[in-house]
Amino acid sequence: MNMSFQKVFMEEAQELFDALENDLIRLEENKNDYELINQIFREMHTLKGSGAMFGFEQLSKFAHKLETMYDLIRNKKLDVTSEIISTSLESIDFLKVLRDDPENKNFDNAREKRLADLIQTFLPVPDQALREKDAAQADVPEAAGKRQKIYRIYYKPDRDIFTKGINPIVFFRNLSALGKSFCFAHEEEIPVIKEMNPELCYTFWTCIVITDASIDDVKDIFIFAEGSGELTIKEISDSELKIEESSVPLIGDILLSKGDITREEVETVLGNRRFFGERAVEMGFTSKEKVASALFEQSTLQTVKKELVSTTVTSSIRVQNEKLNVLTNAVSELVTLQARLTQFSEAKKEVELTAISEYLEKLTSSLRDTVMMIRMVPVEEGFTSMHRLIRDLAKDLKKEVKLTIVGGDTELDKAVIDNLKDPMMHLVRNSLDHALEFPDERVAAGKEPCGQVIIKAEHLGSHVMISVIDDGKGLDSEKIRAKAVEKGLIAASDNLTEDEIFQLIFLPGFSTAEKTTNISGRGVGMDVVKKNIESIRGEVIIESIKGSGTKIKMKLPITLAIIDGLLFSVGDELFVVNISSVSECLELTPEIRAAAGNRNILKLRDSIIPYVYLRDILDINKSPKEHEQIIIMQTHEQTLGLVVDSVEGKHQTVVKTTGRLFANVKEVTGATILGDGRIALILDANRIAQKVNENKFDIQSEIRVK
Amino acid sequence: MTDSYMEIKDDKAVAHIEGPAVIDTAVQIHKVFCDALESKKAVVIDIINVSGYDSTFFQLIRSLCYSLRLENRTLELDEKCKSDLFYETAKEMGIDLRNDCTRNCGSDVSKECYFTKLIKSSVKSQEAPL
Repeated sequence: MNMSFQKVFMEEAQELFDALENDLIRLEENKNDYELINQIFREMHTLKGSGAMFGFEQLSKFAHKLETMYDLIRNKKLDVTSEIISTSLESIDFLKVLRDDPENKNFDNAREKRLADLIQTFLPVPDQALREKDAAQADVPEAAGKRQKIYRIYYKPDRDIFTKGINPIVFFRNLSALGKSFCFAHEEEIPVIKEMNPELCYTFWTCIVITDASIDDVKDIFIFAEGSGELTIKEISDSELKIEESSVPLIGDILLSKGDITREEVETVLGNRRFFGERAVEMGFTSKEKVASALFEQSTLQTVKKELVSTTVTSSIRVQNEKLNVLTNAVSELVTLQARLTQFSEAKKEVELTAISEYLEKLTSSLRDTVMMIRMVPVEEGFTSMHRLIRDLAKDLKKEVKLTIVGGDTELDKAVIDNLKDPMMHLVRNSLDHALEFPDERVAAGKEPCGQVIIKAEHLGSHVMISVIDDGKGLDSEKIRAKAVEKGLIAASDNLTEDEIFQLIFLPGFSTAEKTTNISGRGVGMDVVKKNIESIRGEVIIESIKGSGTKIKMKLPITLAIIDGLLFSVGDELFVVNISSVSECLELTPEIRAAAGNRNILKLRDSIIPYVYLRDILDINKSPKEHEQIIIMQTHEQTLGLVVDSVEGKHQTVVKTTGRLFANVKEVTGATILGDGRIALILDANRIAQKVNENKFDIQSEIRVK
Repeated sequence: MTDSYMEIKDDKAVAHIEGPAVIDTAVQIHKVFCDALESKKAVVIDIINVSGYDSTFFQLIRSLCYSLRLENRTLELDEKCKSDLFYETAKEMGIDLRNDCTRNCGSDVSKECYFTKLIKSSVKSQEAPL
């Protein structure tokens, strides 16, 4: 077996495992959700089929055992129990081991037998037919990517079929089981009531079926109708469906293909450019009933076609992360090169060169956006393991916990999500182990016995805020403070605010847990959380109310690779801020200064906005220009003006890391190379605002003396 | 065997259909419908107590509808006609309640097709122009 195919399966299997774990946990909460049961069955079936196809024999065989159990459940021959869910989850863990060991070098016979025996205990004694069906299914791997076909079935039964015990509804139900089926009843031959024999069949049908089944499968459905009426089953070809065209088949085409009208008659009708069906009826070429039937087919095919097109549009390919990174880097280089070309063309002032440069800039920008879009994935992908983690931890700790995910469809760069997994795991473990109380403690505290953990994701400008919220006992600032003093991290006399005390929990080795467990409490975790989040230019914020709960917020950049920035300078230095933080730029005129009455504030429309000088914040010792600019920035907590020497304009910014050199300059989150080779530092507007507040840059101070 | 019957109520012929409306009971339901037609009154079909349907019942309703229309009389379906079972079976049978039937009785379907009178579609409004 080709190793690359196996790798593809291994990735696909992981997605199935994740989905199964989540679905099983949901099923545990609602044991009669048959839609979910069917979904679980299908996932197990896919796992089994794909496993067999890619050479994972043991995995396929074991998945078959689970599939058999869920087949019985979906057929209501077995009830879902918590024991079944637990065994299923344990079996998925075993399947993961089998997935990682395709050659079964370390096959654990004992574990396999124990789980298989456990599954067997849940099963009723199966009848022989079921056993045979299961065995047959086990040997047939699921065919991947089968082509969908469309069949037109015309069925006009003999009048006496009812008395022969044939019920047409059974045929239609079986057609539906093959795929999607649309039926149309022709009722034009039904007589008036007095002339009617109620035991005769006057109705006949046209059906359109979309399925990957063969024509023989369709014919098999009507096996009992053979010889008792008129039956034609025909596959509608792509050309007949006009799949490659935007329009659906026209009425004329359908009537023609069914032989209900001749080519000459079509052309005669076409002479009058009115609705074809109406004209054809008026001219006596066909009947209203046949047009109605053709209309049904037209609208059905329109639906089918939309579905096929939609399937095509939503189909996807799997790309390795590494390849995506190579593409992103190549686009980053292209963006830098394009900036260089723009500068060059501006200097040359040649019309043709400028036109080429502008066109390339447009293309580069589009390419950049597309690559960035490819990298974006819903944050929920990073949270899939949380359901299982919480379920297992809650069982181990004998606590009741409910996980709620809010805003799971919020998108983030895949690289950010990958970096988020470990911190999330630490935070959730901490919530369960330390924050949430035992049910009796919660009841005594006037809370519901079941604790809540909420993972919430929301957009915040160019950032995404992910919060882990619990309704547990909250942080005890006194206890944290006492522990910090005991460990010598702070002096007993230090006067710290509650927020500052909370920050102590991010210090390496800090833990207030009275005993360490195998889950948490060793003081390893929160410092790792902070480091990981900061390594991706994010920040961690803690909010907690003793007795009520804790909210740990992680503010993360949407992407790590390329941003739209605003380029500006102070002295000889160039800087970039994310343009999404910037609301406007204006010149700092003498009038503005005068109107503020010697204070660093700006009256902008109806708002009073404080401003600070970037040269003060970053200690840049160069004389300012005569005409300075103010960049109005929307930060997390306030609107702030940043005075700079000059604003250069918008800049596609390829983010590069600055390494250790700027490790202690929190306001600098990266650097970028400009087209002319110069370097600009990327500033974080929020951290500038934070520094302004921390250092009490006095906005009431005297106006700067130049 | 069902206990389907017809009664005159509020000057209307009410056809009460009971139990399964299938091939085994088609003859009896046919008789109830014939009685309703004979009454020369507007007809109401009551299917509140119907436990199941097959093609024969839909044929009978279509036939009654057609017969009444030819005599310029009305047919009403009880509210329960919109029950899931009735609607789902009709859909399975290819009787899409959103469209008019193909029985060409020469009437203005949008106004007079009792069974599908709420349905607005007609040849003209559905067809894409050539």
